[in-house]
Amino acid sequence: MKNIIIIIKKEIKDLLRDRRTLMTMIIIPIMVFPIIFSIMGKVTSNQIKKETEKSLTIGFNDNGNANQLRQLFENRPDIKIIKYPKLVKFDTLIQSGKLDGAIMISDNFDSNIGTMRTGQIAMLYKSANWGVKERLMGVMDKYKNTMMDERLAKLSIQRPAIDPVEIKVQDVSSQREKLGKTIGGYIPYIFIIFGFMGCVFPAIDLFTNEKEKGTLETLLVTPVKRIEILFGKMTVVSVIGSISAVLSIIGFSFGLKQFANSLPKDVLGSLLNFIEPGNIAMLVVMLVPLIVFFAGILTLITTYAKSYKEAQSFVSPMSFIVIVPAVIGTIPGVELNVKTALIPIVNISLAAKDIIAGTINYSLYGMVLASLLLYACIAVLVAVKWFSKETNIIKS
Amino acid sequence: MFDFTYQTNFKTMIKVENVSKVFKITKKLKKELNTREDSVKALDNVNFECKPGRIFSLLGPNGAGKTTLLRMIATILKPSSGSITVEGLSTLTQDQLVRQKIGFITGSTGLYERLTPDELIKYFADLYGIERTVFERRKKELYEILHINGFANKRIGQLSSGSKQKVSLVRTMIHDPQVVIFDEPTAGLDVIAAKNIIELIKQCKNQQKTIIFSSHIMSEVDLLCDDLAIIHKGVLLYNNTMEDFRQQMKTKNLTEEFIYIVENHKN
Repeated sequence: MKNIIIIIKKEIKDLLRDRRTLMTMIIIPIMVFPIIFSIMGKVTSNQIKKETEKSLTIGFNDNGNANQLRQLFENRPDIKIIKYPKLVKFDTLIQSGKLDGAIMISDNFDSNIGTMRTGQIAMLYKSANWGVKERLMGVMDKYKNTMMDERLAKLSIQRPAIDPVEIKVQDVSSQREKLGKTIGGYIPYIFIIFGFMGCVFPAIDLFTNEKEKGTLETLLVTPVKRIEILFGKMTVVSVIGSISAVLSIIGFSFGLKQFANSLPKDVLGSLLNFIEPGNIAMLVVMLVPLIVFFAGILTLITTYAKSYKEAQSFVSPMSFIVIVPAVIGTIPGVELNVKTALIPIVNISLAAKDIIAGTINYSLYGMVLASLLLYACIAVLVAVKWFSKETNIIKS
Repeated sequence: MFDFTYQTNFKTMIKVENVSKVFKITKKLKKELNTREDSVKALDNVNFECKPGRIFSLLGPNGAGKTTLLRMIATILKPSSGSITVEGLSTLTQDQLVRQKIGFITGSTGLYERLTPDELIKYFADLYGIERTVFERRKKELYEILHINGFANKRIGQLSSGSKQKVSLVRTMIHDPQVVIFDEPTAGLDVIAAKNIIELIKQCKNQQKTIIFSSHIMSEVDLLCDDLAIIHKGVLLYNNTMEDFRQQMKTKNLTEEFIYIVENHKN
């Protein structure tokens, strides 16, 4: 144990002096989200503000009909009406940005309205332009309701007579649950990826580089046991991977708070719920065996590789293998159950999603933990066996 | 001064008996070597002994099996058959105790470039379990002999290759090993750095340490060697004293004699 601690202390000191480790372990995980969120927040809020304050220019072809409707549009200070006596290619004008939308009234609109038939209105808009449809529909719905009230009054009918059933729909999901199930999947994805990335460089440096430069051989001729060397190095890889993952969560939380001003208060409150100590503790408890599992796998790859370049080329496809199951956790409908609880990476991704949503089943959480511990133990045992084989660790 | 107070009652410090080493060839290596063989015999029934206060030179061309043999003595590799003992301790079953007695140095310095010499030496001293007072004394002695104090706190990556070699020597000698293995220690070094190594080998001999020195440079062997073993393709072709070798020479000089032995073995 004493030798393992000596190795851990030395390796951490050595790695912390390396800029690449500092970048992947501390700077990127802690900085990336605040930067992304602050840029995203500013861009989104500016865009929303710009779109809602923007005056819409609407083409209006009424064929001499629907004066009342046109007046409703003209009364709106945020909508500018341009009359077109003849039909033109409104879609082209909207695509080119000359118009934000167009309203076309049918020839027989007034006569149909007057004779209690249905008047036809066509509306063109571009869904890529945020809020246009809602603003135009707001005006037209107001007109439609006025017409409806007038007709019902003429016919001496009360509204409930034509509206026999009132359906009240209530979503019992809490805001936290809804957000957890939708964007909650991305949070574990973040720390799984950063946890893995945090392990990659230390593993290459402590195994491949040492083998390539001959420093591993100098360690092997000391009285230290091989297993102590392996455990010392694997512990450092795991610690740095864990720090990287935890810092990415801290960075994410910090970034979220930065982004707070542009989010509705209830949404923000729900998102910030996952930062509660209990939730963080549950995530970290799962994270540790996962990172040890990564460290074990990376030990095999990086000791097998003969050079830094070769190690990188082996690790790149491995990143893909980590990303795919992590992404599965973000797919709506994929739930944590007895089967998914046993699939590595997918299980932590789904469990984390449920923790964030506040809907975690503790039995399944236990299964996830047990399976993660089992995979971590298998990875460590395989790494021990691999490291004890002389041809794997001695530069030929 | 250097305080090598080592004394021994053992007449033979290292005993290599019937040692063979077979490496399995992986698929990857088969492609690289363009061979269909499943294994390669790196050493074939090698026998020799090394004694304290004498320099044992292992001479052979590249790929002869010198490094494999030295790595087996240092317990990094295990023999496929046969046995090796260091001061009576088996390299197979008492490997940790054997490593406590050995210092191993190669031409590549094998240093951690982001550490300072002080940090590196302390790290290895801790791994060897050297007591603080003993460590401080030995470090002081070695630093003075090798003139390390001027750069003891600089990062190793910033040092010249000569300075790095000196640090590497301190790391090898910090635990005062009874056996020092030099595996082509001067390969790739400049004249001054190589001189440091030669001086150290001589000092070790004066201190009654057991020295194994592998090389393919005849002049170094001629200068230092007491006992000589010539190895080629894993087979020991010659094993006797240097004096005996000189007397038995059939050619004009050592280089020609070495080539003659190796070529003769080929034929």
